[in-house]
Amino acid sequence: MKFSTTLLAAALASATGYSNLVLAAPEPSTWAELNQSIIHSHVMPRYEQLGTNSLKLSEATQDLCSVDTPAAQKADRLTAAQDAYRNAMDAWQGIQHIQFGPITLLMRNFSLEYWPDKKNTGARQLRQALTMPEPVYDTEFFHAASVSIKGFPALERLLFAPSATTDLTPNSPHCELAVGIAEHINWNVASVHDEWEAEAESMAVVGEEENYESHKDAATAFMKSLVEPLEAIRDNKLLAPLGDTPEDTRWKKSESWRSGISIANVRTNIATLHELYSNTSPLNVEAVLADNGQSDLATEIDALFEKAQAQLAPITEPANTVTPKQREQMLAAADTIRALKNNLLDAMQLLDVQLGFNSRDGD
Amino acid sequence: MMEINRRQFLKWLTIAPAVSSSFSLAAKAEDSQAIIDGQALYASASQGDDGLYYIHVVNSEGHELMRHSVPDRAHQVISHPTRPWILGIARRPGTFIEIVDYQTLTLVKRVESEPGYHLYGHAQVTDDGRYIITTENNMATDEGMVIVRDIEDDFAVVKRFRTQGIGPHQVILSRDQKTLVVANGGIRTEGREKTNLDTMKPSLVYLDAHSGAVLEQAFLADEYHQCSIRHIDLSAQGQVIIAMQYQGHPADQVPIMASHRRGEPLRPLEIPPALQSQLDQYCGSACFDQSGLYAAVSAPRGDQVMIWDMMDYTLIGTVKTKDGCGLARTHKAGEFIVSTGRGRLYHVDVAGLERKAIRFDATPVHWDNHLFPVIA
Repeated sequence: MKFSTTLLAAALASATGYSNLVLAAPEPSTWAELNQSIIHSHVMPRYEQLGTNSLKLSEATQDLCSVDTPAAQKADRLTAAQDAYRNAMDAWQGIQHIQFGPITLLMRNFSLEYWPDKKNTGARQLRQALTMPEPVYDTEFFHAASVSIKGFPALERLLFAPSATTDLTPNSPHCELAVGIAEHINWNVASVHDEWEAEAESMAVVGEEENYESHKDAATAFMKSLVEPLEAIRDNKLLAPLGDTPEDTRWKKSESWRSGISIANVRTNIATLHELYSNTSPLNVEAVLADNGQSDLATEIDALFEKAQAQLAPITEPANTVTPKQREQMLAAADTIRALKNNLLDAMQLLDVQLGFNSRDGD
Repeated sequence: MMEINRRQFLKWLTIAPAVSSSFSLAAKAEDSQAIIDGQALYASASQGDDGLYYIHVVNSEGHELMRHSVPDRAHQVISHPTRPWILGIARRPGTFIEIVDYQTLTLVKRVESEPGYHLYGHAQVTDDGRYIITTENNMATDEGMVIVRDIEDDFAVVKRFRTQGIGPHQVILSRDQKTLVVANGGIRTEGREKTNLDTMKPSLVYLDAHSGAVLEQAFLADEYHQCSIRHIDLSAQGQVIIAMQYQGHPADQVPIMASHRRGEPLRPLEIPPALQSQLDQYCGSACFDQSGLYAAVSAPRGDQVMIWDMMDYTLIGTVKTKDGCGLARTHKAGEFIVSTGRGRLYHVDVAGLERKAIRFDATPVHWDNHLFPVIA
């Protein structure tokens, strides 16, 4: 245009230096194939797994609370319900990164897991629900209930309370509510899974007036799912409970300390994102990056995923206190996760994927 | 760096009528939009794919008339009512007001905020063309300020008013030029980091434009104190539409839109839950149409523009636009232009709730949060 624009050097700031390289722009057909690969080898199987595990959780909770349970089996059934909880939560951790599509409708994502719960809303709502006169935890109850008692955190409080063995007796409010929440989770997950059939279709049929304007537009939704959770995983799940100093550490701020799977959650999160990056088939992001002249970066990102998982693998779940060793291990993993995020942001720029402008950094 | 066209600037100063330095404002009959070659003009900020920041003038057919590089990201871009000037206001916590002539394509002046102050990205120019009104932060006290600069006194600061709140954002001058409506966002920041989310108290405040006296201040109910009141528009009938950004938990059920009329409480507007759950607690811009009966509110994180009937406070419908945020009314009742972070421009009208693409004829850019008609 008519102005000389020597105001600024056009160098794009980059943490890693990769973004000074030439832009590569995959063809629409590449994006289309990548989307189909991600849907069929990553998203659908994972929602299916969550469905299976949620159903088992619902059944195990019913068994625990059944009037027919012999007293001798009560402890075993509580253990079984707790195990089922951990499996269902693990499956949720394996698909939690998809924050678009049916999961966002009517707060389903937050209904499944209201966390972090900084104001302790869950505890307050749970207390109220348990002490209400003539409690009935049916569809109507859940329709009106706070999201903080519809999902995993509230059920965890019930199943892993120190007094769980005595609280969770057949027909008790605790049992009725636990059964209700587990059923609600199962119903919620089933709806999401069903509706993903339509979402998958809408990602294939793109156009100016369609849900997705282009194959790249649809792919951008998946690329957000790949890149954006990393910061939240690092900040909320590792750094926030650790605090700035060992004295500030509050492990009870971690995601699943009651059920003892806070670190396991992070392991699943990273393994899931790793799969989304390099193990969807027939096509995956790593291959797209390599095919567009960025094989060094592609390999480096894969190595960082491996490194993060190797760093997370030996960390034992902290009890109440975090040992200096655990702290050191977690901080090292957190650093790798940050490096991963920076490299992936560079990769997105190189693939000409815009994760959002006003939506990511508005004012 | 381009030269200030000093000669041109001085010429205007000499032809400007001699006025006393008292802060007197004359009301203008009506908005009249600048037209070149039969097309109405609009202004917006952007970021280019080159990583640089720009301010632009485009016409309603997508033809670019001006692209001017600015030192950092700009936010609101407005026009001068009597001169062919575009003013790009630095996004918070920036410090520049870039003033460019869109006819000669020359920089008129880069005004810097005073030491100890920064801008919040929004401004107004009085209808007589003499004063620039900005929202700013007094960094020493964290008090929100309205700052008035006299264009005819080389942009000297002539008034400073407290906005009675922290983090003032958009400011609108009433048609009769007597009242300033200011959105006090309530958020204290260091750099762009938010430091008072537990205690924030946003408000909508009406100030006397001459004295700065508080005429009225409206607050939300205490339970909604984390709903940051950021972007507003004022209809000819005196109604204010408010677009908010909630700073609490993404699942909380809180209003993110409201309406206000003088002497009444703030009225939260209810968005259907299925829609609100998609909006990520964030509204980007708010804009009345030419008639003042309808308003558009953008929710860029939900890829939606909502169209409201502001007489009976009902949602007429939504138009899906990816990363759509900027909204400007056109000269036609019920019609808006939407700009998006993906570089798109659309016509949207109340009747059809359809978007009609406007083909932008220059190198694509990411349109920033706001779009405004160029006034002449």
